[in-house]
Amino acid sequence: MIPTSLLHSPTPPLTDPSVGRGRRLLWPAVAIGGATAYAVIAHLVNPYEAGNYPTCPWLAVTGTYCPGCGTLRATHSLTEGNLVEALQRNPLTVFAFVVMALGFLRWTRRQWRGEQRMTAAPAWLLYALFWAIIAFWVGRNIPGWTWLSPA
Amino acid sequence: MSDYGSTPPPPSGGGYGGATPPPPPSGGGFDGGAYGAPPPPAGGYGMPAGPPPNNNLVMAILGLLCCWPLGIPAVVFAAQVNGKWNGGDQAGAIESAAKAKKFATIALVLGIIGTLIYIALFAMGAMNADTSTGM
Repeated sequence: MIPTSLLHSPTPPLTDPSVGRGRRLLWPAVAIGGATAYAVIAHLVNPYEAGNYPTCPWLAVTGTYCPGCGTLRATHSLTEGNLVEALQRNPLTVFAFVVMALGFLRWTRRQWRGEQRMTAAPAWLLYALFWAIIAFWVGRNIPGWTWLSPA
Repeated sequence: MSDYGSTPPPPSGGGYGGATPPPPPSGGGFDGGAYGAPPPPAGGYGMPAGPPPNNNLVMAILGLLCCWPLGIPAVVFAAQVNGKWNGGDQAGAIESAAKAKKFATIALVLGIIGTLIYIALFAMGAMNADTSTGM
């Protein structure tokens, strides 16, 4: 049942061996199921048509775009294979999807092998991500500069 | 599970003095000692041994979109987790992870409550549906 290669590699350390592979892969399965359901809804219920979804509360109240604005439309465009249109709606969303897909692959591989996560991303990377989000937030709301705005 | 990871009980009798080595794990005894023991230290980066704590960054970023006054400290604490961990500060990393989780949870709860109120208003027709889609 347990492949021998798993038993012969001392590093990285393994998770609790009493937790089977099926149990370890439960959350990756939930994640891929949720992502698929989201993509299917974003494809079938067109967010480009007004009235299909409520306007984002942040946009309705402040009239400005938050960093997540355009995510649903970008997802819809991606499901149609239109990468350029998706980037026009929200480039950060497309970038985040790529990062999330890579992270998902790493996570699932670790869960499949029963390994523990032993690496922590450098802190500067996380601070850079934080400032990138803030800069994106400001940048897409600069009047007359529509390059980053979702409209 | 918990009992299996601790030191195996000494063999009966007086063999405490160290003259008798502990019995080697037999065929089925994989979870007896090796796997329950703390993992060996990772390479010489000054990182503590063992897996790093979850820094709750994803939760913090979602919290940032839900309610930025609470989401910003959540993201900063999440980033602190990795900085402290990679610098060898295990306790500080765990503490920052807990703070990040606390801020992100409050932000998410507020965001979810706000969204529910908003959807309720939308469903009651209080909001105009003909504004351009905003998400």
